[in-house]
Amino acid sequence: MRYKSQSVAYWYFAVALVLFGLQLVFGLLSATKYLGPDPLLYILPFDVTKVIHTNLLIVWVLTGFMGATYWLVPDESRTELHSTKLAYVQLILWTGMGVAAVIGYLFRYGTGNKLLEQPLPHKLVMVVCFLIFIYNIGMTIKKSGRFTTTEGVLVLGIVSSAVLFFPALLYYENYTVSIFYRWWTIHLWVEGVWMMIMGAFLAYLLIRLSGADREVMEKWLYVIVGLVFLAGILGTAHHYYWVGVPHYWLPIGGFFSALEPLAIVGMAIYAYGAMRRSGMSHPNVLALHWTLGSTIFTLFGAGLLGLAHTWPSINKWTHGTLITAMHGHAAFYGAYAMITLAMISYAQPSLTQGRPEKGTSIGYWAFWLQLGGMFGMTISFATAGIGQVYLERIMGMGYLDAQLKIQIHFVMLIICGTIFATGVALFIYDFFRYRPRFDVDEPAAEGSTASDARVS
Amino acid sequence: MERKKLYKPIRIVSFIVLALMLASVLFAFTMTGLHWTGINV
Repeated sequence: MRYKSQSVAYWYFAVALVLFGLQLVFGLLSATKYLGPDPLLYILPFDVTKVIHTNLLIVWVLTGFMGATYWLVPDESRTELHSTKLAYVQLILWTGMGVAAVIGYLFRYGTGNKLLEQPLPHKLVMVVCFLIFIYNIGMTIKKSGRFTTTEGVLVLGIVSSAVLFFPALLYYENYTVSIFYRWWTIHLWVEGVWMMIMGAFLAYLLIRLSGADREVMEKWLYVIVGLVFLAGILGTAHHYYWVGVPHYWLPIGGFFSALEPLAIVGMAIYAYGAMRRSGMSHPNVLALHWTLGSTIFTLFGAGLLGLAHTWPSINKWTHGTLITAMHGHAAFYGAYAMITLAMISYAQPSLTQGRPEKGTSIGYWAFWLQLGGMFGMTISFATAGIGQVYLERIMGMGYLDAQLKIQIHFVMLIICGTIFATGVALFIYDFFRYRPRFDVDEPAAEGSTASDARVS
Repeated sequence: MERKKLYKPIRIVSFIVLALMLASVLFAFTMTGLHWTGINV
């Protein structure tokens, strides 16, 4: 850690990991409900556990992004954060909002708008947090006068995320209109501007872990951003297929969303190229695992599995089935969970006392168990989803009758979910078993050159 | 409150979450066992 204020990232990561663990609790409760009569039916019905599961995902990933940004920006701009106090205020407000939202869902307090169920007061707190965040980051960069391309893409992603949250603040009586604008936030976040955030973290990690030339790596970032804009924006239309909008959205959605994997393929080539050029000699091998793993799993989950059901002729049958859950789990985990865990793994040795640079054996177990577990979960959803589509949508069997036929896949889901949860539990345990440190281990040199980008 | 003092409470919270995760895994496997004959295998 070169700047004292970077230590604020520790608390963001700590909150993110606690929420990640809680997300899995509600995920497992949701999966169990597919097996048969549920004793928790009247206390925690499926709609409540699922809402909490998906909302915690968004909140913990955003918390991780914020922490990673507060780690990255001082490093890139070579200065202390503008205000650590503001960063802590933001974290307190943000965590309070997240906890209040979860408690509210337990008492059925929510808007019912999928993935944006947070009531208006919570959403306004989120806006305040976004504004504090952007102000703090912006002032830090302004103060230093050093603004790298990596930071540029990151800031563009963060500011765009905040701007795209505005449609979520509006309420529409008409359900089709509501869905139409809901995707402006959700799709353009996860298949648009969050890709920029991911790309920026990836560039930062690859430059430092592989020691590859910054100029070359940052040129690739432009290509990725270009591809995200080209395909991601109009790719929103793949959510518009069967929701009551005009038919012309079908070819637009089909064509542009089929182009979306290009940016993801670009990222994987980018990571592979960096590693080929510079080898894997950085001591923090665990962070390397997470970084490369993220690009590969994104290619699989978001790219391949997304492409598998984005065409209107296929999506006609698979829309809203377990095939969507298959894609959603693998894509979100690969692209956003893994890159956040990569940033945490990279920063951990500096943020905690006594942690070995190369990572611990528990850390490697956490990586492989999560990877294997999530792969198994994805396959479980896929097999269940294929069965569901044929039985329910093609054969015309009722929902519950079809469900009975595919129940065995949920046993597989729970087994693989348990493997995944074990990996996450080990990551959480490994994170918290070392005390945090708040002193700099490597004082920043005045007038340091580009080569300092290689130091960890 | 000093930041160092916050380590202990957040560590306790993390253990509570780990315990909840374990409880949800045990619940899931108990339900799998209870419903085994109903599961269409």
